[in-house]
Amino acid sequence: MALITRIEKVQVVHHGPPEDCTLLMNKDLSTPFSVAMHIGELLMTRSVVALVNGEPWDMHKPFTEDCELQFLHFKDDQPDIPNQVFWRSCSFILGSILERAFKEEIHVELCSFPRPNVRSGSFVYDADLKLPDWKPTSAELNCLSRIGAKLQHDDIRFERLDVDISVALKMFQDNRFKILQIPSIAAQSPSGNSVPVYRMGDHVDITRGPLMSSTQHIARYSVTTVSDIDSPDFGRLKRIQGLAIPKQLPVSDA
Amino acid sequence: MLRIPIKVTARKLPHAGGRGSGPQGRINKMRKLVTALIRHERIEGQYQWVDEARGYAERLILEAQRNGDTHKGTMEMADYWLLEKDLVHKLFKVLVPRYTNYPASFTQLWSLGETFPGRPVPMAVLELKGNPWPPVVPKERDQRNSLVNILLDQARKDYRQQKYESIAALELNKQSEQQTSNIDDSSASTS
Amino acid sequence: MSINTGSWRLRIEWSMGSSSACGTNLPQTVSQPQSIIDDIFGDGFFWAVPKARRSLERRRTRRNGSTKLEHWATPRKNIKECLVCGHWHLAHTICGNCYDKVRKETEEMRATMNKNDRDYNAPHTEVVYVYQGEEKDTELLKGKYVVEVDKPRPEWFSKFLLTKALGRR
Repeated sequence: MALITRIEKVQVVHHGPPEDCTLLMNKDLSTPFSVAMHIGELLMTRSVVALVNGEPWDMHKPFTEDCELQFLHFKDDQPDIPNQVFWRSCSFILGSILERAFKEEIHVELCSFPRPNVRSGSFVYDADLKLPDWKPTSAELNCLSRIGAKLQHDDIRFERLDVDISVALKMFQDNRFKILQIPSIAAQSPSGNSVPVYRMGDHVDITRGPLMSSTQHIARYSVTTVSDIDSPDFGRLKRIQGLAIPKQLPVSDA
Repeated sequence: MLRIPIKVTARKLPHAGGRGSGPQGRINKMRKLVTALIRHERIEGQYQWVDEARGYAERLILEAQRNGDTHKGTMEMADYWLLEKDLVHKLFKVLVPRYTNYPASFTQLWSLGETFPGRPVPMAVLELKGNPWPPVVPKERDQRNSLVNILLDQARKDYRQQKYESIAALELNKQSEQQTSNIDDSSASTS
Repeated sequence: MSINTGSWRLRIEWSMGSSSACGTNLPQTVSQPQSIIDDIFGDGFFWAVPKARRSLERRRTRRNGSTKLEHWATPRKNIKECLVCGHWHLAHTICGNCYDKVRKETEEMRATMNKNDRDYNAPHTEVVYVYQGEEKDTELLKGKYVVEVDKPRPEWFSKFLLTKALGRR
């Protein structure tokens, strides 16, 4: 009974189309997505991330204090934040594809993905595939791409959770790279003891975030290359690269 | 040359000037619309009428610009198409100077669509460019930083880079060939 | 004359000038009709009438139409959102909500101009609208017909119209 506390209210001021308005939302319960549900369908479908007090904020992360809210999408005047968030989410999805795609005998150990950089032309995931001499054919790459492209119909949400360092070590105990990374990630967090973990369906991964609202933003998704790299910290790894385009920015089929 | 696409045949506008008004009714309707456009610089109406009137207005301004106010035929044409005669002065003194060295069409047509609920008739807005009214559509957004455009820019840059490198490699090859041929010549001459 | 056959009515018109009508002077010759059909139809003729009943399906298709139903039942895919105000409009049209705002402002501006000059004696120079708190004695406005509007300029209506118009291809 002590765990169930009284629900407090926070005041959320929304700026932007269709209208500027003020809403009273539940503290630690309501998210920017629930504000969007109050205002209209347009914001629910097109918003990628929110800006809460000027900082990028997940669409499904609860409010903690009174704030000013803004929704961002790909056709904004300055779409840098949505672009970065999209690129980071696509890296995250690439990790889930690698875990799902191979047979059970092959234990894929995901390592990490670098900061998203749209100008590099591709998003990246480094992993140990336990297949040192594998050179994928175009059909195999196509299979990997299909898994990502199909996610747009599933509309799976990205949900954030800040867990304790001991819980995180337990969650990722079968992944030698993540266990090495977790202490340094926890040291960077404000409390010095928590690790940000994201969930997309069954897949769980560590990333600083924020990620986009759901997988329905993906229009095209393709895994393009698999190459060998030598990491100074983790030894020999495979680097998997891909390319994706959001639904809001249509490109020609030709 | 008109700067707008128009059909060669005139559009059929039944009952333009009321039922049974015939071809003359249609012309009267067009004259009214052209007069209103020159006076107010922005008019609303049914799409087909307004679109048809656009061609006559463009032609009128073009003729006035080309021939000036001393040309008899142009003056007669202005007198016929402008039902209110103070607008003849406006045509030659305001619109002709406004559109000197003007590369594009003088008018702009915006589609408003059908009103729902209501009569399902497509409506439109016709305006003279450079009018003092607030703009119908806001300024276009800068889409340079959209994700697709960034990717395309980068791809273009890479392609150009590859091309320059291949050209440079070709020239290097040519130079080396010339040098070898020079050496051959010199060796032949010495021997 | 009309004969009811079932639910359908056959209309038969008798031909003009039968012997009984005009030949009063001639001696009457009585002749027995050969059959009952001749008695009914005689030398009349049919008007063009429907030969068969329209079935329920045909009637409903004619009135509602398979294509019309299909048109209204299929969801439209050419609906776009306005990036400025967030309302919806068809892809080939302009946003109605934004244009309503423009129309209202235009009418207000039109109302501020001198009625005589506006409707009967169009000024022989360019017309410029100057909002509250804006300069009237600048170089740009020299020799132009200036109309003052008694309110501040709306935020969405930028001032670039005071410069010379440039063509838009």
